[in-house]
Amino acid sequence: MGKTYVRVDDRLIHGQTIVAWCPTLSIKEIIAIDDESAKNPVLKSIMTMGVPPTYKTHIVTTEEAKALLAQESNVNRLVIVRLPSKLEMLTEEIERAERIILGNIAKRDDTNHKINGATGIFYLSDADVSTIDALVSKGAEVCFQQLPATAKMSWESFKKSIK
Amino acid sequence: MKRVIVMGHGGYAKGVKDNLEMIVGAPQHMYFIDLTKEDSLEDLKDKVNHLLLEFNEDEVLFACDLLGASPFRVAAELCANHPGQYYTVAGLNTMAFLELSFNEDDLSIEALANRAVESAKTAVAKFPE
Repeated sequence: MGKTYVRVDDRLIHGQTIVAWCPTLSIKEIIAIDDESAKNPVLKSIMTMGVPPTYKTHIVTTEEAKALLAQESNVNRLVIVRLPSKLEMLTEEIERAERIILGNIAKRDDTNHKINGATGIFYLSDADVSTIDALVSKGAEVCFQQLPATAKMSWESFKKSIK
Repeated sequence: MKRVIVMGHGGYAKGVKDNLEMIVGAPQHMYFIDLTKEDSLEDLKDKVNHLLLEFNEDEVLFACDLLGASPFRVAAELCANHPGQYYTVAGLNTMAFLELSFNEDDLSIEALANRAVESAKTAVAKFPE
């Protein structure tokens, strides 16, 4: 059975994902979740233009993603969401994910946490922190990591740093 | 008037600009925008939209560093909303940029995009053959 990895990245599918993460995690199937892009064929085709045909790529709504993830898979899958808040709606589907990797999360109006322990841009709101805490309490492994080759920071050490 | 906007990651656009300046001098119709590590996609979109405001109804060719990456996506989205007026190309090299630095008003924007892609391809070589 294939493994499922989750990426939180506000750029959804882009160069770093395709060039660095997919080979590192031996990904064969990409499930990118974005309700806006999923309903817009132009955005969809722009986003998939740079993805090599060796990957099976889906750009889907949350509902469509739930249906896809309900099926067992023989290959490794990468689930990509733009923001941590989306993880809450997918709790059941991603509970057993191998790892949740946070990267490229730009500043938003309500983001009061700026994470400095790893290389990259990571901003979280209090609501994001509680969403991720809930997943961690169910056994999920969560870390901050921009690229496979850059410094990684665990969720636990981030939590210690804000206490 | 046709404008060319060069866009890329981490100093790419500035690098192309410096490169052109040294070889042919700074072209007045070319503009250079970089996506920095600190920028969000919205920041990049703001930079581009700000520049486009100055151009009114001019035709624009976006030259991006990498197919499918963020600057490309921002450019391609704009092209989808301005069919016939905006085009995007990706992965050009110095030869293609040099050609673009000569403002040729007799070519359509689509022809300019086609020529840039072809020039980039033919300028790739190895030695000895």
